[in-house]
Amino acid sequence: MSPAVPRSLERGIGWLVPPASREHVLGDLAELYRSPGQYLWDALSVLPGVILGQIRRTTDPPRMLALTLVLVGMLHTRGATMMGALLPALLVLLTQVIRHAYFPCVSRVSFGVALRRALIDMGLVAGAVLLCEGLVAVWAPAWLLPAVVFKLSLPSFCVLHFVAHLQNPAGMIWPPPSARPMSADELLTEARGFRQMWLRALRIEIGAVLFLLAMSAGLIVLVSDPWVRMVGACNLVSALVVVSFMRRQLRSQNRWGGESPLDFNQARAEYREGLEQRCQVMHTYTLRYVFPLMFGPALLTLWKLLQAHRPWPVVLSTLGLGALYVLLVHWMICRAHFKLRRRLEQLATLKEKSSSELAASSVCLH
Amino acid sequence: MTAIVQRGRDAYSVKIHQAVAALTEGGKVSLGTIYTTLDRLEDRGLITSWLSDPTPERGGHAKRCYRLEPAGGRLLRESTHTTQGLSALLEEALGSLGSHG
Repeated sequence: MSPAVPRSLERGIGWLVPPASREHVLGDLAELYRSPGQYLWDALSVLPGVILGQIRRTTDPPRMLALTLVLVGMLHTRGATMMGALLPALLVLLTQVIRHAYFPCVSRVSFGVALRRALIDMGLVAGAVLLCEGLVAVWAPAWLLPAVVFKLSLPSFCVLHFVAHLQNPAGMIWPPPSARPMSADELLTEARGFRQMWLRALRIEIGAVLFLLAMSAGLIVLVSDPWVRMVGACNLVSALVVVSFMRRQLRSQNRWGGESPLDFNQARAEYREGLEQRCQVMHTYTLRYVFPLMFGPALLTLWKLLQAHRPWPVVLSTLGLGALYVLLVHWMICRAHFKLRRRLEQLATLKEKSSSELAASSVCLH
Repeated sequence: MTAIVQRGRDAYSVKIHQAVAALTEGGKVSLGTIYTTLDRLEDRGLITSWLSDPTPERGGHAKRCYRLEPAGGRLLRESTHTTQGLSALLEEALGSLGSHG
């Protein structure tokens, strides 16, 4: 009989392995166990690959980079250095990547759970920025962020992050890739879960844009500065365009599918129809959603910047950051579009679970 | 994928690692690399995995077993044909070299 792994050692290593891989990685390490030193060596050599593999699965790079870019932009206000804005943003990025790898958020969670997780995520962002500022205060006080960041920029980003998390709890809007045979029930559960996730994401997006609409209307009414009023008017028009586009999407989603029981081929046809609809939406997302929301305010910001003395360095850097942001959003959308298309291709060749496989899975369940 | 086919119903990370080490004739391949490769193959739909029942010799932990999917089988067959073609070409080239020498 092979020696057993000391419980404390196994618990310590288990704590470092992401939960999704914990069971089989600890099993493999236990099977190879000869001595505590060898176990530790094996574990340490396996861990980087396991953690990176999990990060690859749970992180959507364009989404993370876009959020980081927005955070850098918001922290880099007057009086802040670029390094001072970059460091907390990178720490937030790292925290989020690790959070997704170790506590992956499945998309199909109830609204209450999504709300709680979004609040925790918001706390993590604020905590990471404050921790970074604490360290900067000790090591490089010149990089400290100005007080206005903590009064305005950081709370605004936290709210933005909260809405983004609530709209898309898993950080990815696509179904899981799987080529294994499925039963009609499993396929229907996946299809309907995916549809519910999209509906919720659309509703939250509509809510966020309506909020922007109300803010813009408020700016027009309450602020006397003509530039601010023009930005408000631009936002009002683009928000109206976006809301009408989204409402049309929402109506078409509501028409899709019923709750009646379906056989495997019907379930597959219903799922295909839903995925194709989303592919179409994704295809035109940048043009219909990102540009209307960004175009007016961006143009007005540039116009305002051009009024300043020697404006070109600021104008060019603003244009560069804007272009980078649009590229990241477009990359994010292309990625989601690619994943949707891949699931569609898998669906075309997906086989129904045979009766023996169904019997085996029901035995496992009992 | 060859190691998965070779191990049949007993294809899980440790055994696949041993099979790969044997196939590469003692070549240094770490278990971490095997995990990464298996993850990527699964993402591409070439293999599928499932957790088996826990066993006492694994400290009460389950195994993640792997199986080749039809797409993986096709790719393996294509790759075998390519290797055979290359091998035949190489044999021919080496043969002509020998006859000239």
